[in-house]
Amino acid sequence: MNEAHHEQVPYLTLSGVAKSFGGHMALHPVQLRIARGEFHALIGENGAGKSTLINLITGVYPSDAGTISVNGEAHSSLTPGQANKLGIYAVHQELSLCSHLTIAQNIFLGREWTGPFGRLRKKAMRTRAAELMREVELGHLDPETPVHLLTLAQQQMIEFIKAVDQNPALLVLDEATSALDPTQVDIMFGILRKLKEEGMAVIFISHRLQELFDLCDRMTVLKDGQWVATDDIGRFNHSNLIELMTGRQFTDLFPAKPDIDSVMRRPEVLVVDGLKSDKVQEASFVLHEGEILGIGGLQGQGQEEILKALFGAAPVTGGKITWQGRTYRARNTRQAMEQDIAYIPADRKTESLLLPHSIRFNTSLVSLNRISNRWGTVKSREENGIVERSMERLQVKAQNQEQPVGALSGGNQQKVAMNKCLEREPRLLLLNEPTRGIDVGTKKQIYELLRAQAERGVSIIMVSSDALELIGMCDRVLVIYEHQVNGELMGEQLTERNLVRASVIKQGG
Amino acid sequence: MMGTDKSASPARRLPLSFSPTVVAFAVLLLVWVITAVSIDGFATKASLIQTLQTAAFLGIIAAGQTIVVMMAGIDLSVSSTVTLSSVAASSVMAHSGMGPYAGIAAGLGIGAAVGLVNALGIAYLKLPPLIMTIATISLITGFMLIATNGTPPSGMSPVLNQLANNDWFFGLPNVVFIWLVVSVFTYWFLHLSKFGRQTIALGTNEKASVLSGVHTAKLQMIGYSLCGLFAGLSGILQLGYMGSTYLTLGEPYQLLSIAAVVLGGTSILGGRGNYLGTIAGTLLIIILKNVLTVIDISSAGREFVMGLLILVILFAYARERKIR
Amino acid sequence: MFRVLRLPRHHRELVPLYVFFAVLLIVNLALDPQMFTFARISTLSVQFMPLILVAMAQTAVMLTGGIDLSVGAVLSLMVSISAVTMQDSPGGIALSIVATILCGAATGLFTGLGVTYGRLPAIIVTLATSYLWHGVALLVLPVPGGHVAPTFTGWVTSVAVVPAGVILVVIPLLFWKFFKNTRPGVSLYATGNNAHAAYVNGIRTNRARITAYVLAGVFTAVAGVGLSGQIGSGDPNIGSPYTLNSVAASILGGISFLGGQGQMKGTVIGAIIVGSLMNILFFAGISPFYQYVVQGLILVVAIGLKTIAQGRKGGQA
Repeated sequence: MNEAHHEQVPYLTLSGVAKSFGGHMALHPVQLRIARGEFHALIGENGAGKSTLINLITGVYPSDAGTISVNGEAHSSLTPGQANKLGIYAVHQELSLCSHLTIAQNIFLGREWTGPFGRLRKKAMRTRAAELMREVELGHLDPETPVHLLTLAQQQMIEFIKAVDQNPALLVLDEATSALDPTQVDIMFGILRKLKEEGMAVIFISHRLQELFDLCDRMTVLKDGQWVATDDIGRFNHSNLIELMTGRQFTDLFPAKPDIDSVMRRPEVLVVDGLKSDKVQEASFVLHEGEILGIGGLQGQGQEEILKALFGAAPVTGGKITWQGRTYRARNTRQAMEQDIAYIPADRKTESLLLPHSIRFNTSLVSLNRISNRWGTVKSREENGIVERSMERLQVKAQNQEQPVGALSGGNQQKVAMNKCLEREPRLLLLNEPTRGIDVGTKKQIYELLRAQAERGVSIIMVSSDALELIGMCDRVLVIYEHQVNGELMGEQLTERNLVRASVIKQGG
Repeated sequence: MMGTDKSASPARRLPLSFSPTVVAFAVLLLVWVITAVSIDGFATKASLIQTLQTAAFLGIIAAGQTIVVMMAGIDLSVSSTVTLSSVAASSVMAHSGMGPYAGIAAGLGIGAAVGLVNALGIAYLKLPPLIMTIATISLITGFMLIATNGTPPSGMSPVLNQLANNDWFFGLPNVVFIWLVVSVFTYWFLHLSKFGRQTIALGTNEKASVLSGVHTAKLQMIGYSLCGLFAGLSGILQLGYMGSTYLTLGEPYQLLSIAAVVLGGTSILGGRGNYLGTIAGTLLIIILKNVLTVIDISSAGREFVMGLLILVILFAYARERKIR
Repeated sequence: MFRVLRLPRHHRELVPLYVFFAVLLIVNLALDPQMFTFARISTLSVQFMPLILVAMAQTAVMLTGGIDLSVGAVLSLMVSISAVTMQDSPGGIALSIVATILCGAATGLFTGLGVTYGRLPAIIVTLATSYLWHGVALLVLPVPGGHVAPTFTGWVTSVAVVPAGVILVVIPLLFWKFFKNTRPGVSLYATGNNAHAAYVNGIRTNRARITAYVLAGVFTAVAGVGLSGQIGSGDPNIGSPYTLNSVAASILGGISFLGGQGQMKGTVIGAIIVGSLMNILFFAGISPFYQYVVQGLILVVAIGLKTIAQGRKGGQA
């Protein structure tokens, strides 16, 4: 069977395609061939370049170099429209459904069947939709149901059959099974296998390793934006795969950690017992004074929501939180801030900084009460003091305080976002992806600052999708898998292997 | 990922709040020079004073509107608030015999109360500002008709007349000084106080503001109350200016107050702008209005040309990069 | 989620509205026992017709996520044009109706272009055009007057088995029903619901928005023609209360101001409810001034209840 693949003219050939964003190579030149009817698994850690690669294939990004050949015809890069014409369709984790349109309307959106006078052939489309829905065992639903009434899994299935109905030659499934239960996954795989016989190829990304092994013929491993291996799936097993995905070198990026036993002996300042929130099924953990606790796992497993629930920015629907010896529940962000808790969001551009406004404006926004007189006038002297001090703390590189933060580099933006919160001298620091998209030099500065804060007794919880960072920085790491704590790693146990394993394999017990 | 480069681009220029304001004043100067050259008697002192006096009534309302627009809101009900406060002041002075100060207090208080009601609907019932303030218009109109039975009382007082028409210094009418006081306050509020910082933050990005601990509901209550208060102030000043009021007194100010804000370089989507620009926008509108009066076209033509001119100017320099 | 109630979904969503409507009818009937006579139905249908049509116009725009503050002014303009142009001959009547409808479509096109390619927010464009069109209305007809063809007025106001008011509403409504089931119709809904998803699926969202404003102009024009027939003349100020009421009727009828949600029949019922409330106030002998208060309250209460109901369900917005 493998021999057969090699002899055919491949359906898709990528040669030397690459992509960089702002000087950072998100994907180094990659070669990839996919034959008709081949099911190809794509695997790698967060930030390994999987999304970049499929975005080049589906035309979302133009490629910087190389060629993309489809059916032997070479293109330097594709647009989404071209990709569709060539038979390439994708189902993404984020849905692109119109929530208040019906199932049938969504399945045929933008390609409706029409009859005389442009009238929609609703009945025909409804019948076809019902047919498709029966195939994925959604036959009990009325095709006239608005999709917002469906469960997330059902919506994902609708996206799937919508793509399948367009007769793709290549279907890209980017975490398209993330909300499905095992039965639904089986149904989807059944359909995919049937279409395989008709020559449809698939590129499949899933955080569930077993699904990749169940479905795919071949597999490509990416790491740090670079190709690592492509081979028949039989050549891989859980352990050599984790070997390939990991194994990066530690650098001297990280400051020295204190002895873990001494950390564990310090007083517990935060006790979270059975926390429930959006996307959090159950989370229980403790945090010691001056400890840096990491929260890891693949993206979107509920890590961010734990932080937001603690900060009063996401609803707490169950469980008990004790902070500094007292029962704690923040109904809004102001209450959390009054309790000396600070949150530094992952997406600094939409959740933290006001890009058109100056460094000064952004830095002082959370400290306005302290620097204004009793009438509310902002005292510019004291504001200057705060802003200058904070710019020094993390050495923000800018022309002056008046420069809009939108004009700063990512690293300097993150410094402003951190400074703004540290100025209030929080006792609990909640960090979400503190070094995403910033350069190494700044990373090092931020790591040193965080360790210094911890040494001063500030407790820190840090969500990160970068395994190295979690291992290098944290005293202890919780790994979340499918909205639950799937493992706790510390001391000798805190290795990249264990971290990746707990991120992709459900732990027994 | 794509949207960010755009918001970053103004960096190469002067402080962001500055440049559209300069444009507004440049346009104002240009229009004034053109009218002064082409129309006789436009550049006289009397004409200037008259322009400033008329502008004050609009300018005071537009100051409040600037605060609300800056927080990504809008207040369409300023028109009825103007009328309501003048009617309230007039009624108090006509019936209760409590004198001019009670009338003034009633006018101002009712204006602020209308603003507060707007804010409550917006903050707690989650009505979009546009729809809440339209609803308020209807409520006020109804109450006013019921209370006055269709004819506003003719209460007046010399105090109010003096306040609006007399002059203190330089032959400038008092209303101009009141506008100045309102302007100084508004400039302080938006650009020198912590409230302004939070207002601008809220208007720029609500999510980031909430995560930064901004109390949005409180801020909306302050902002809309000020807007109502200023509309009320303008209402009683117009009562004093004309000596009586009528039930459509405020109507022109709905579009004109918003136009003054936007022509002054403040983004209708909130978060960007400078109050000083609103002063330029106000004067610009009043000059255009005067020109239309001078060249003697019908009131219908005036309305048509004003609507068209405002659209053209907006199209020329107030287009949004992205429509939400 | 899937209850036993075997009504089709698009009716089920409107059940509270139907109930409210029924209660209102009963109250109305108690105050006005003659309500179900031909004569009264004819009168009422003509009386409600302009609001129903203008609310339909507002709904078309709101479904794309926009808002049109100029419908009142456009209605004034349409009434004025109709009153000035309508000659008393079959050809003259037809010509005037066609001309008015074309003018209505033109106003919609103007707004639509401003909102899409002009990249100006709908609020400010339609606020400015409301002055623009009111100015034009005053130029066309400076004071209330003009003369609508008596034949037409007679037809509109006559008592008939199928009253003119019903015909004027049903024709646009049938057109909407047809339109909704075409590609542009689906595009309009999809654009308002999720412009990004619509775009990704190849829908021309700008075109969909412009279509909505043009349709709004056409519906308002039909309202204007009918209204001029009802009053027998023109009035350049007649439209102003309709802006608020059209929004109120739409929201009452279940149209979301976020766009993409709601049905035209909900709006029609919403408009009839607004009209009936006014009717009740009239028959209860309450001063017409209270109409304004009630109109304002409808809006606040309708949205406020929705907000509170959503808050109960535990979801934050």
